[in-house]
Amino acid sequence: MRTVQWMGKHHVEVTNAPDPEIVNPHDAIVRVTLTAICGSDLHLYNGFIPTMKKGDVLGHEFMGEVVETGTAVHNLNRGDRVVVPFTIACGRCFFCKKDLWSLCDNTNPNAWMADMLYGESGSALFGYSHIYGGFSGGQAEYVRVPFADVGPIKVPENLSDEKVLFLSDIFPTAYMAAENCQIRGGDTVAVWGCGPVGLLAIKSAFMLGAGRVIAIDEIPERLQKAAQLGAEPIDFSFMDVLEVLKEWTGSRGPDSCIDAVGMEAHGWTPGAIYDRAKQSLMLETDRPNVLRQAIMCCRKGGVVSVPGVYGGLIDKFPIGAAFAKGLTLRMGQTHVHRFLKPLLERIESSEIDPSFVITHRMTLAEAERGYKIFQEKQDDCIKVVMTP
Amino acid sequence: MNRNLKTALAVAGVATMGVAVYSQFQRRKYSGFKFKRSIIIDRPAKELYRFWRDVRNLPLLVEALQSVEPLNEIRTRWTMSSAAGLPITWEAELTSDRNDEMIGWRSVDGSVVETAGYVRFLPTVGGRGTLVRVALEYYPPAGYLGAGVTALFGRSPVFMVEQALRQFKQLFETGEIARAETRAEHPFAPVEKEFPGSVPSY
Repeated sequence: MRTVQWMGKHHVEVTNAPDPEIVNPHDAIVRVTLTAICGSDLHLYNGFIPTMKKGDVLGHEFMGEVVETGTAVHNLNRGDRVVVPFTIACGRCFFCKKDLWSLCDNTNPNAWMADMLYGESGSALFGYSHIYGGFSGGQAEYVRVPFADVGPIKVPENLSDEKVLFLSDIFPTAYMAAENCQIRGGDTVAVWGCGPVGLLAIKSAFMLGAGRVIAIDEIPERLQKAAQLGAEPIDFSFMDVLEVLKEWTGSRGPDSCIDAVGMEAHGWTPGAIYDRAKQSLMLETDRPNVLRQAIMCCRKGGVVSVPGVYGGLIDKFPIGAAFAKGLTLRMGQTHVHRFLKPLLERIESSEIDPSFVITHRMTLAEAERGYKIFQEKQDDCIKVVMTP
Repeated sequence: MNRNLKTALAVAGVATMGVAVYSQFQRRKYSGFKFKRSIIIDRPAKELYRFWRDVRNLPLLVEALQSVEPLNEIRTRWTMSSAAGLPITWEAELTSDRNDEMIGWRSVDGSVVETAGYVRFLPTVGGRGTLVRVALEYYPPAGYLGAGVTALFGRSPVFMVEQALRQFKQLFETGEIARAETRAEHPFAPVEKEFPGSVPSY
């Protein structure tokens, strides 16, 4: 089958790999009908995530048709149309049972690696390096899906692939980020990053009752899309985010802040330059420019919500400001399974159509170009979807 | 006594003390390695004990462990693959066996790998399943003092025990051991246990 494989920094290739087969009793094999490139795939593309090997198949946002099931899968049949969560969860451990699916104990065969780096491993992910299990990803024609009795959700025929694909990752990610803000009716929410997750977070914040959403980015097309959703844009390439946010909110600051940017934050403020310098000297692994801003801007007693992604260590973290203002920080990998049903319902009732983030459609064979334009933000690219 | 003899005796005395100190040091260095590791498994202690008590199950948990054969009521023969390729084998005896609570063992005298250990099955605070604790003591075989057991097996004993506990948990909580391969290269049929009423839906 054709797959998109990681070959090194800024280097992906579309090459053949053997078709997957059932390995464990709870597996299913899914024939992929639509897949996407995620912002977090760019961290892999840019060489920021360790434990990648040449030939690793990328991709964790995918959906398709069940073509085979293992002996212990009783809820799915051949031909079922499903969307698959990017986190692999067993459904039976302490964490899964607590609705903390992305913290599953039992799905990462390389848990020892994550144990070393983080203290304890969370769930495995599709197509996201060997620390997260080394599972073959969804930018391919077929995927072996473990615990198919727990993860995949069946989707109705009347909803197109583009409408439901993002249940796999970015819609639950954005929604969980907004939910974590504990929005009370009328609240002001500031969202850093108007990529696909940021845009869906803006929408989710309004769905959850926000009275006002402020969106921060530097790319004109992305700020435009944010404005179309009803957000007030701040272009940080010529506006001072701290000053403007404070002024717009009567000095109080937004009630909650969402960092939908993560470890590869842009910008040329003194703090950002410091981060880049340290990163090039390998003294810092992540660039927390946005996280610092969010903490500095958030109102007293507010929430800073971090869908991420962060991987390593950061420097000059304003813990004093966070303490002085009594902030709550909420973060982590998305508990996709928790949100599949409720968000599918919102799509079915036409409350939201997540496909609005899609700007580029191509075949899997064009993946190299897809990664390039997404990374360089060429051609007004916001989200790339691919058909195998 | 002439000066040369005095010097010779002094040197001999120092040398003797040196050897005595050195061998003490060596013995302390060669006192073996001890460690404990534990994990929480959401299954009753009785089930976990029963699986572990049948030693033939243990190779399912340890990749390098080729087989464990019961020889009689208390003796077992262990065969592990080594990094060099040749299997290493030794025999062990049961030293304690408390139903649903604890199993202890010790390698017999003259074994190439000297090891002793136990596994305990304990209730957790709050009744959230069973705490499984493995304690292991081992002495590297002669010739491996420097490089240690890790060189012999390719993996450290700590790693192997941690992996074993993780796989034990996966097997008993989900009925399978997590594998990332896309092809069934190891076509062994895992002990498949479906636990009634335990598949939650979201």
